[in-house]
Amino acid sequence: MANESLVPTICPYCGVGCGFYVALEDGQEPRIEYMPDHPVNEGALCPKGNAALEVLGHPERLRHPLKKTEDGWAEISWEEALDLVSEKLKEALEAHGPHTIGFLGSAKVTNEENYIFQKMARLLGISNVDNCARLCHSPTIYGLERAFGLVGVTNPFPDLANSRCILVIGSNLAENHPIVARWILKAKDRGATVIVVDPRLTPTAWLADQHLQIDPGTDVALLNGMMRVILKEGLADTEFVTRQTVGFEDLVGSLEEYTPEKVAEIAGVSAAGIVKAARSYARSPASSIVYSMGITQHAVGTDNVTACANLALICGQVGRPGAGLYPLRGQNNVQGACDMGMLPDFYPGGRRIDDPGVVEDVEEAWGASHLPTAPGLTAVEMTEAAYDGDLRILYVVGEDPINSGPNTDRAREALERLEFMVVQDIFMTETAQMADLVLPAALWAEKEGTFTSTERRVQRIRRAADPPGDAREDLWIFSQVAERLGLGFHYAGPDDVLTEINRVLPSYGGVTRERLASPGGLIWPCPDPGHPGTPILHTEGFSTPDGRGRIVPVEYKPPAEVTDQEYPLVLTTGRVVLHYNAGSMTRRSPSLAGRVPELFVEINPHDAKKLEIEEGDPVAVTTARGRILARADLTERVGPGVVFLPFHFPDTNRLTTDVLDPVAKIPEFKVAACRIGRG
Amino acid sequence: MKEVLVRLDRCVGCHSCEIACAVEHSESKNLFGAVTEKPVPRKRIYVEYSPEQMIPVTMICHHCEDAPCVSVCPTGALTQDEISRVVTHNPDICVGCWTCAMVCNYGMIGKHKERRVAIKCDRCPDREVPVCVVACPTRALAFTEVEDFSGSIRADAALTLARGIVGGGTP
Amino acid sequence: MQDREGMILSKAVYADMSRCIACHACEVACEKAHGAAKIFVDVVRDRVSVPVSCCQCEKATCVMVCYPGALSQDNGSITFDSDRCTGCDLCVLACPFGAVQLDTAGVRRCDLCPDREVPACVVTCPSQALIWDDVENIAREIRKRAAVKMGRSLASGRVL
Repeated sequence: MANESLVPTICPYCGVGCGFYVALEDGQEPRIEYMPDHPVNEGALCPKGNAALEVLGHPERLRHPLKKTEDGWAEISWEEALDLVSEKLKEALEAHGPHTIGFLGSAKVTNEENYIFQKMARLLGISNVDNCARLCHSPTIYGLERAFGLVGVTNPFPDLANSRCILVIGSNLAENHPIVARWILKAKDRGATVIVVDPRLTPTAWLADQHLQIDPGTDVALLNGMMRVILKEGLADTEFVTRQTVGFEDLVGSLEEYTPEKVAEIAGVSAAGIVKAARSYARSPASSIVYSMGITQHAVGTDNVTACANLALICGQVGRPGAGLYPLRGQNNVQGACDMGMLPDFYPGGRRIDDPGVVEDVEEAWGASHLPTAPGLTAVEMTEAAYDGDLRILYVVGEDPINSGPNTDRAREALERLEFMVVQDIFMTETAQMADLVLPAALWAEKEGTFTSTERRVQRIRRAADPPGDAREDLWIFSQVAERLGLGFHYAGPDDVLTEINRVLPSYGGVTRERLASPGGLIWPCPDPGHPGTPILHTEGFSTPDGRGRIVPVEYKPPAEVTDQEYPLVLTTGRVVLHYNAGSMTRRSPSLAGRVPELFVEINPHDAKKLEIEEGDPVAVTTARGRILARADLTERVGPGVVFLPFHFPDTNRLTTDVLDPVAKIPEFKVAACRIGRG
Repeated sequence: MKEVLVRLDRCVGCHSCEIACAVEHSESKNLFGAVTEKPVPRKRIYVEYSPEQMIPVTMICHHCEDAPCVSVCPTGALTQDEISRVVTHNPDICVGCWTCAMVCNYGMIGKHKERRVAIKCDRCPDREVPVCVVACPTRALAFTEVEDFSGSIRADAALTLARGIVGGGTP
Repeated sequence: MQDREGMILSKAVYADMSRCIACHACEVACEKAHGAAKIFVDVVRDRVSVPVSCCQCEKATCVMVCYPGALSQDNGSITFDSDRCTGCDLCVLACPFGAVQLDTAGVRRCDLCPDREVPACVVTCPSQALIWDDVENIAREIRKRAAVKMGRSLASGRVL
């Protein structure tokens, strides 16, 4: 085609990290061209990927900095906006101290931007930094850190095809990470057995040889039950256990009461099914576990992750081709945001903030002193602190906590109590509506930088279009604010920041701009420029100090909220294939929103009959926290007694509970007690 | 009802059944005539090779109970006899949409290249015993009742067991 | 494209329903390529998902009923001449798959993306449920897969 140029980029939606090209042609709208030589997606894209450019020139994009006045939003200059942010930060720092300020980073912006944002916070003494990983995979961070010493998917997606048994637990990957289904099907083509554990009959369950339809929140019981079968039948890899792990004896003692019969009763599946799944997983020469938010978004999220790691460890199913653990992350750069230290208790490179050696290292690298040495508040705790008046200023980048957090009516009240909130985003989200100042940001196709996919694969994005109006790259905005605060950031652009990241983060040492030019990028750890990257982790022992994996026994605890006479149904939440997270992008994408335009609630026909509800009826869903309306969708995807709401629409999280996992502080999005009535 | 059944252990991959099938469905009905005919006569039985076990596998239309190809055919070109279960194809009303080929688990729908319609096993309506069975030199193909077929396998198994008792020699 | 015997191959988009995950990527990709989708994914009884599009019938019923001759077929491939179309809707009624639609732009049915090497829906399909090939090749693939499965039963059983 004449004058066509193809700009390679990475999909801005989920964490799989699919590549495609933005095709630019004179006088034409940019369009998508497929990238068949990308190692992960081989040219394929899910519907969201196909629709990714629809938000690019969207009429609702933020074009100017906006300040809230008594007469509504007023357009102001960047000069004024940046002065206002820095003034407010200075004031609060001087008058009340850094603990009254919170920085909420984004798993949607680049590594470079997250790195600079947290560096700015910490140089100012602010330790309240977090990102939305809190709400999706924080249990993975704490669970896998303890078990393996390193947080991340252990093997790349194409390696799934080498598995002979794949246990998918708490993940509807066919809808949420459709490209992963491609690799699972390739494994099936080679004779692999697929086990899907999910309370719903999802399209992922269609691919299964065995579907265990457990009751929501009973994962630990099921996994412990499987491990008991494995131990009793002598299917554990004792050689691996002695050589590579510690804690096995404690586990043996803890599993005694998890008999298949008892677990069957707790989890609502057959005892024979548990035995069968355990045998398939343990006997296969290479087995993988794929999990996602069905495991993490529980008050026992960290226990769930630990149970998955225990299962892999006792069977020796980790550290080899086809044998691994795949926590599927939700956002395109959630792995990167965490790597860059956008977490209250970790400096860049996943190094703990309360380790004096780490602080010393970072102080030396940054030429700074007096950096925070204690963990700050997590995202949900920041909201709590705002409610109590302890947090005064919140700087939110590319997040919509009003829609994505739990129990949003209370969250809304909390954010109203803030003295000053600045939101930096691409659209006027519900959270931005509540801000005092809104800064228009450029989106992924309008800037340069790197993303780290859930596979630990670092890939480059390139600028294919100009931001609309006065919208600017997040990196520029951060640098300007930092300059006004006297932090002396002199970065010419993202490449400069990447060079500093290469220096400061040991695992990113060899991830240089030049090496990221080819499709597929590099998989960290990649410590030096000659290193090929590390697709499979833990091949020679684990990353713990003694090189051994930690087996930590966990006990089953029922969900925080159980059904009763007033709230007799279990409400679980999740995603649908055509939408994404809080929906600020997909609900504005005509080809996606047109297919799923409004909130619906899945109800089993058996329950619907008792409640005299017909297909398409407007119904009210009520929990202890609120009442919302949704259209009834009668379907056998959910079992009797369970209802499902997608969380892409503003109302869903008004119902969810803010009970937190004690370690990871993730709210229990996946289980709440509710009742349904006519709307 | 009698079925065409395959003893995979007896198949040596000689392709005699394929040739016999094509000849049977030719105009001249003999090999020398058939090879020169236009359109080229087509076979409806396929000898495939399984690389995993390194063995030939003869694939035949099973004339399934509730045959999927019949249930998806939009024009009624494929029909199934209620008693014999034989699935027959009427090329005159076939539109060549190939949905039957998509749903057949055995890949038994072929293509009549000149007429651009489906082609499949008709179990030789003019013959008492299908020609593929007649042509098979190793008796890997049998035209028999399923019970009798199982019986013949049982007899073979009994023979093997008996050898064990007698001590390796032929009883 | 021709086969060994010099016969013209007729490639079409086929669906392997055992692989379809109802993600609707094909619909969105088709919509992006043509302005409106010409492939549709229907989920049946919450258990199986079926992508439906034009089967490129060898003796297409839409062509047979088109009395002004707007739709014509040569060697399997169907072409449309908008000047001749009277908008009578007969083609829509005649298609057994509901894969033909008529709007102001004329007949809307899968044209197999003539500007692309492989149709967009096939490239984009995450689960490789859509296959772009001649029916004979597809049947051969299915036979090979079935042969391996049958072979396994033999290998684990009485003879080998």
